Amino acid sequence: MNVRTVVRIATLGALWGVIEMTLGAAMHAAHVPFLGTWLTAIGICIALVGAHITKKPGTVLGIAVIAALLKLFSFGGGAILSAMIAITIEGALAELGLRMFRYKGSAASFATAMTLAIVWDVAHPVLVGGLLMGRGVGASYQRFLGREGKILGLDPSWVLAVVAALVAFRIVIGIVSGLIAWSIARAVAGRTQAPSSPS
Amino acid sequence: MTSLPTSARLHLLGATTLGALLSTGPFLAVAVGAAVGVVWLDRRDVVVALARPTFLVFALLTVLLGAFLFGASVPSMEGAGLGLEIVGRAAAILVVARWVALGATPFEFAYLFGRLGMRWVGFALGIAINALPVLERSTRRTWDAMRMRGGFRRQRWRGLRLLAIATLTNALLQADAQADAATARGFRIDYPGEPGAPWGRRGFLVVVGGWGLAVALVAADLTLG
Repeated sequence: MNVRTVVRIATLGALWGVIEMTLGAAMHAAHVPFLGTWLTAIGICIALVGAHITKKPGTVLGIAVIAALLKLFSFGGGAILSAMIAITIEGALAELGLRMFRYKGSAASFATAMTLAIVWDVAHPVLVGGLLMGRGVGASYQRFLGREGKILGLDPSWVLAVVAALVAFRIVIGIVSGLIAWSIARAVAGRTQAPSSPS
Repeated sequence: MTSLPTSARLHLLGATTLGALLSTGPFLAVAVGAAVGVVWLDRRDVVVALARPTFLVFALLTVLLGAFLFGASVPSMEGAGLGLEIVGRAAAILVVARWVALGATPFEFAYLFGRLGMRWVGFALGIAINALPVLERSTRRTWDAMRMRGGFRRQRWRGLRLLAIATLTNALLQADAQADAATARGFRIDYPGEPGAPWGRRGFLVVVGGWGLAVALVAADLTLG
């Protein structure tokens, strides 16, 4: 990896961090539903644009790792660790999605990468809240299903229906966000295509 | 305190972590006071950042949860005290960690992370920390410029898309300028780099004092507490 690529990764990771600290805090205070999904979509969009510009494998994961490390400085209290883990795993899944297409930018690769990252949002409360944070898998998931099912107008006791609805909802959001990210990435690439120095 | 090199600041972070995690009650209060005091002498803005709503909400919730979850009665002063201790530990470690991060250059980060075999991560983290305020300002400026020109009044989605393109393009152009500057200074990712400035007499005394105080507080807590 050359200096230019590393600095681009760092700057886009910082941009993701800024969005988490400003827009994320405002959305959190306003109790916006599916907050994690929207923030993941924005963050992964930034990372996918970075991957389209650098065309280097590892870019998406690198941007996510930098954004996760910057969470340490956000004074957000106890939720920081869970958010750091979520951002890193989402970055790894999006990286996997792009690698499935050999890191070639296309609408399909962006939609796949974005969907993989966003669908993680459903598993995160169980694996991190339940196992790592010691809250218990069952209790964590019941609370999660109750909260999210209520937003969708579903009875939390229909566990399978609620899970299927939440996953389907995120798949739709993932595909749409991936396509938006692809359109933004092409526009940004057109504006930053300057002859680069061999650094 | 401004002349303290990054490695000395990292030692103070280690001492703060030891003192804050392993002491309780009045000994913890001294550890927190000392850590926050040292940072206050150098960078007041880092300490003032503790007054942000997110940290204040975290502090309040932690104390309240402690009062209702721990102790013999509900709510209990003992539980609230435990919550307050958690807040004190978090405040001390976060303030010193932020102080270390804000005082270090990307080259120092690269050297320090390079010792763990993660040189590029250190360099990237250093760049990112220094880029945060610049990016925040430029994003806000782009938002204000578009809003004042009526960019979001009609065709809101088009406005948001243009905002994203402008913000990302600005960030990437800024990144390229920084990469050129680093290359001009002869920086290479594979170059092992050089250690930062020597500690000096004052730095040595501050580090020894920090570790000494942390060990003394923990020992006193174990024997007297």
